[in-house]
Amino acid sequence: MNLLPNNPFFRDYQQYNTQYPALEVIGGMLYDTVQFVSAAVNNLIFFTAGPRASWDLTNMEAASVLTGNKAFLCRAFRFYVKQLPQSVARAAAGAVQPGAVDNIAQLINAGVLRLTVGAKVYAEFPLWVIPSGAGVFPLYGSDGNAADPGQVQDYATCGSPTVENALTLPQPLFIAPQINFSVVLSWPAAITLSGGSTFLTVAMDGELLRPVQ
Amino acid sequence: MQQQIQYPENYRQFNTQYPRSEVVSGMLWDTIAFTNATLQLTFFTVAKATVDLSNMIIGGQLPYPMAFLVRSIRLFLKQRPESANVVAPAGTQVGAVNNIALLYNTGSFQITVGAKQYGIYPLWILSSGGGPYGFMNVINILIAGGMADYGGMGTPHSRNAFTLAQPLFIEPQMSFKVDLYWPAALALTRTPLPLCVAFEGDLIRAVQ
Repeated sequence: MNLLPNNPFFRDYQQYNTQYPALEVIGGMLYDTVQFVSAAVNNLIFFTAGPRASWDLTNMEAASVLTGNKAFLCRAFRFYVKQLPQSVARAAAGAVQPGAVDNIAQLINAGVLRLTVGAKVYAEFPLWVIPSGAGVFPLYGSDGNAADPGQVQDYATCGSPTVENALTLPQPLFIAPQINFSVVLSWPAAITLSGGSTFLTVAMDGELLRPVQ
Repeated sequence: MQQQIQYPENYRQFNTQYPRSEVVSGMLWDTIAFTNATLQLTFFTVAKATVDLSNMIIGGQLPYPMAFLVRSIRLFLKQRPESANVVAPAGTQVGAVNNIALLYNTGSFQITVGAKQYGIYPLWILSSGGGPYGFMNVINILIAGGMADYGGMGTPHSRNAFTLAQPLFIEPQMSFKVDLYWPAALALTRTPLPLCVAFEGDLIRAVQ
């Protein structure tokens, strides 16, 4: 696969190559993390900030592009909410019950993911179809009495935390080297989360192509 | 499989698009609020104000030269967890789970392309294939008991979508819609509750 299809000189440069000319393909993931600000209107842009302070936040090496001859075949999307279990007052009967389950419900009820490559939108999905496919499998046992209206402990993930539970694309998307790409998560109105502002991760699952070295 | 419209050949030199089409993974969705008096909801016929509600560019059809191959259908109820008092034995426990059960038990679903029906299904066959997956625990000294619940339409797993045995191809500028029917009014704990219908499959569009 020619990774620089628009460069007519690429073949001539091979004689000066400082890398082995062959490519290798490995299983890979591109991910980035941005904070969702509670009680504010959020329009979060992923993959455009380049490297972040630590590897748990992103593995991007440059802002908006894949460096060198690296390319990526995106086969699936994942969306992970980095929340913690919540203990909250039980809402009055007939009211919405806030907590970790409600955090997920609010985020996916109104959120939309949009992937742009170059200047063109290549994927647009409501957030409720994009699971994390991983995360805590929660169980609780509690004891004691809590004064009326009581207390609720809960935890939730986006979809069941099973590794094959990712939004797999019927048609994969190829991101060529040094082409701009970004993912935007948007919500039309402010959302208040239990536990306050929370970090969100968008991950693309697929194959990383890079020079053999 | 695009429409074979014969444009004047000399217009090609002024083309603002590449003549080829491309196929990308796509989804078409639309959202309408259900109220307890609702007996019918019609989806995809009106473009909406924000993209979380719908990504239809125009109402009722795909603008030329966009087309869509529907491989599976999803249904998602945009509800939130509910708090309720525990109902006396032998009563129906109201709450978020009951909301889903009520909608499923008497709802039906119909796809129309052009003037022809392309599928009628009971609503319970459609699942979201997404949504919160969690656990809730309540402590309360109320003798009558308090509870909190949340329900989704089927297991929230991306493989859990109603896949059509034969995909449906929707051509450009062909009218299509989805209707949901209920024979009688329901009594959900909270309305209006937005219901979202989504087609999953391949989007065919011009290379640009």
